[in-house]
Amino acid sequence: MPYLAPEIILTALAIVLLLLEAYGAISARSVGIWSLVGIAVAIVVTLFTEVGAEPMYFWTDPNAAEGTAGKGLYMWDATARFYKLFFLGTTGLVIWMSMESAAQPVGPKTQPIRAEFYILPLFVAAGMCLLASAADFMVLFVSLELVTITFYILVAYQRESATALEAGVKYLILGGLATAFLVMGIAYVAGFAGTTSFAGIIAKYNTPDHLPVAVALGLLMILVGFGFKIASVPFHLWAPDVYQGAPTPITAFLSVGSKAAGFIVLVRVLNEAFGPTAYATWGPALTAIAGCSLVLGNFAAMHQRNIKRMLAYSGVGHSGFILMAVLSGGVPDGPGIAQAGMTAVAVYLATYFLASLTAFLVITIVSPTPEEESIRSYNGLWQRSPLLAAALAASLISLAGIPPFAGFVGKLGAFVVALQFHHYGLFFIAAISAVAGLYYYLGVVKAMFWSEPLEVTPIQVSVPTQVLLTILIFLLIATGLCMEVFAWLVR
Amino acid sequence: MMEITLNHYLAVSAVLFMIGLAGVILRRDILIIYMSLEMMLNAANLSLVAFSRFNNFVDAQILVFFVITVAAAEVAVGLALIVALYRLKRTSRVQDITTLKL
Repeated sequence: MPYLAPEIILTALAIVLLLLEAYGAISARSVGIWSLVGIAVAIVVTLFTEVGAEPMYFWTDPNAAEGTAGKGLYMWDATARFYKLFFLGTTGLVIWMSMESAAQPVGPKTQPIRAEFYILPLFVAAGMCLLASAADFMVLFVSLELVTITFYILVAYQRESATALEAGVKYLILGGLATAFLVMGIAYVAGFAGTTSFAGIIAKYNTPDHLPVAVALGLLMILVGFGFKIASVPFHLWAPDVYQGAPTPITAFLSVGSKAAGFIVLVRVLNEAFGPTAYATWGPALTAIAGCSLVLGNFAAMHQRNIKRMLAYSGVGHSGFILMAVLSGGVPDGPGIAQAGMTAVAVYLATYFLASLTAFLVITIVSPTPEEESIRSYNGLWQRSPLLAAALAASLISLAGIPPFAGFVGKLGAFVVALQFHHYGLFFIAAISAVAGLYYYLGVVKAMFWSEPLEVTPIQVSVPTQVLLTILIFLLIATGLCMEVFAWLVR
Repeated sequence: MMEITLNHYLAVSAVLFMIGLAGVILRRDILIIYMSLEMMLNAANLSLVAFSRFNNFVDAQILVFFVITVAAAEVAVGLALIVALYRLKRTSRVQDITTLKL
């Protein structure tokens, strides 16, 4: 079964590594290397699994109603492949970051990284890959919870430190609340439709009429659950605290992987389970969420003194930009979201992936302890390590959306979609927020190059990480210069 | 004698859900908040079972089993976290855990 290969490879490898580690047969570092090897194999398998013109469905229900036959629990198409590669790439870089932070000196309240810190991300990756292929609310729920529950453990990994535990408990409570809303929403939608499969629900409700009230309520509750995952206002309250308290590699995982997982399920549900008529329900709700996320995320980020908190608020703002691209729905006879919107979401996430992971890789190296996470510690980084300063500058400028960096392409796509689908108010808000974003991103860049450093000791970077950083800087500029790369990626 | 219909079950489930939500928002003890969360999940379970019983929709019961299993996993992780927090700070009240700021 080549279509399920990434999930099977990751889960099997994770279980084998857990057992080997439990009996002490393997060191933490080699577990990390094996995890990277497993991810590389999964990437290769996914790349070479062919994609048909039409989506393929597996585990179909022979008793399904007319018109929905042949649509099962699991689907495979170009979108699924793109997001699987995205999640595998994210996990690989996160494990790399974890190995990098394991090489750092340990602070008084931090424990050395043990093997499960490399193994748990494999389970998260398997859950995320399943999410990219979910075609049924049951699969969606179970894989989303696999991701969320594993993250509870990872966020609170440093359980001797009060801040990490506090972040973990906050994530647990608000995550549990989001799960409750999601399950209740699924209960209403699936209960009234009489099926949990996306194909069955769309067959029942894709009529010119509006959705029944109970189903519309269910859809909105499901959106609450997803809104938590993508950290959009007003479901963003956990983000700043959890981003700050979690170990930096896990912060990166949350900010890129978890956000993208939220967006893939969001577009899947809106596209596969609800048709264009449901836009009357989710369109206004998501417009309000997007507008609030843009304004609050970008303006709150200005006042932050901790770089991880700043990136948390900026991530809330980025969710707003991506939601702007999602809002390309409601075209009669089309799918839930127009193809242009799907492409813009994928491109934005791809540029965000490059920029955000580069930034967090640098933060992992420059700020090994919580005390060094203040933006002041980045003063004069140029004099301490030109490569790290250049990489962080490239990623922040890309996040700000300045050409010729990759982030510009992503922002451009989201803005074009907003104009194309007549969201002029949102376009205006997004333009102001993007300008506000320049202030805090460029503030850090200015501090790195034109401020005197607090200490002058040069920062040592291992050779493989130097190579990786150089590749990431190159990609940030190259993909910004030739946008065709993204057209090829999402095809 | 009144006949009990699907709507009665859905009403009870909605009330349970709202009580749980009020508990999460109003109570100040992490354990009680966590208990309220479980109540919200069980409200959803009740809805699903009622749908299953009245609409002859067996998949809903399977979903209930998944929800119960996932909730058990969540409790295992969640209680471990709360116990670890209690050991460190000797408190389980939310107003005492406010280290993370700016």
